[in-house]
Amino acid sequence: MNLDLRIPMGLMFSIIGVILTAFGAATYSNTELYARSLGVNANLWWGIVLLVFGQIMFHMGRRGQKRLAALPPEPVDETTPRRGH
Amino acid sequence: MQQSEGRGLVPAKINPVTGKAMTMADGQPLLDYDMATPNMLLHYFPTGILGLGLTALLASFMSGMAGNVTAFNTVFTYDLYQSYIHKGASDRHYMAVGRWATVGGILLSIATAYAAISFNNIMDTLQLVFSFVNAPLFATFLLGMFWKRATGHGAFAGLIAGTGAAILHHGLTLPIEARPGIHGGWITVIHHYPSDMAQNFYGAIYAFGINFLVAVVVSLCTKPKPEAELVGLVHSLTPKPETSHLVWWKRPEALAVAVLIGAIALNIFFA
Repeated sequence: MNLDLRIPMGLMFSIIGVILTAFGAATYSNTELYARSLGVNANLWWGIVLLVFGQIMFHMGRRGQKRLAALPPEPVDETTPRRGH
Repeated sequence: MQQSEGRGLVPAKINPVTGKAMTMADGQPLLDYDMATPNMLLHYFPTGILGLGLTALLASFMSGMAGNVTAFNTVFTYDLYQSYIHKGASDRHYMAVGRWATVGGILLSIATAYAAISFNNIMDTLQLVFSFVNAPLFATFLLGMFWKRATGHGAFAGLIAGTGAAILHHGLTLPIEARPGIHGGWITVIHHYPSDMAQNFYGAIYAFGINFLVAVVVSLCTKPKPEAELVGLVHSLTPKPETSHLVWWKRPEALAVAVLIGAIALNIFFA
């Protein structure tokens, strides 16, 4: 199996990004909550950053996976002995 | 959290065993730099991203711990137990040994945490251990890789002497703000360093230097290893990888120069 690591990683960042963005948008008018972060809605902004990063990674991973699937399979060399750790 | 005794975001260090604030040799509160990052999260992060920040911190601690424990049980089981203590046992046996090595490694790290309580940041502790273990080892590796006259006896004597020198240096010197004990000076104090880190670096220099000298002298007095056994181990007897077909910025030489320039620039910037 050749799972591109960017796919699960991108999904994880996207899910956390969606949660943070939604929470930030829901608490947008709550100035009391954001007093400690100097008036910046840190949840909304960081959620958007995570969402964008996660989507870029996810789609790059999907493209790489598709390109790999189009290639002919590599022959597995059974003669080389397996090393220890 | 007793922030009033700390300085800014850096809190005063509380002894986790007794619950009392810790002090330096001059009676000033000992600052706990390890807590600066968690404190900054608690101070600036609103609900929401605060949970993410704490989760990320915990995740990085756990992955570091998991990596080190895995390395510990592999090295112990493969390189020590299987190679020297008990050869030719079944895989099931080595698996059990590996699992018990994990338990032992975690107990050892808990004991180390107690020993590290009196240090005000983990970097000082880490560099102290490195000055005992890594600095002498580095001299041995350099000689072994680049000098084909180096012998096994020389390397062993050098390692013992280098580590001994680091221990002796630690026993004879003390950072100014510390009390004799785990910070040094447990034989007698003949020199004070301005900080833990200065002491660590001088300790590493002594350990490296003495290891290097002893390894060279003992190697010259013992029988050299035949060159045929050193192919692939010593630089001058090893075929060099061909890199001329690569683009210039992918070659190791170019990358080495780039890293060197970066290191010098950062040193000048922060000097």
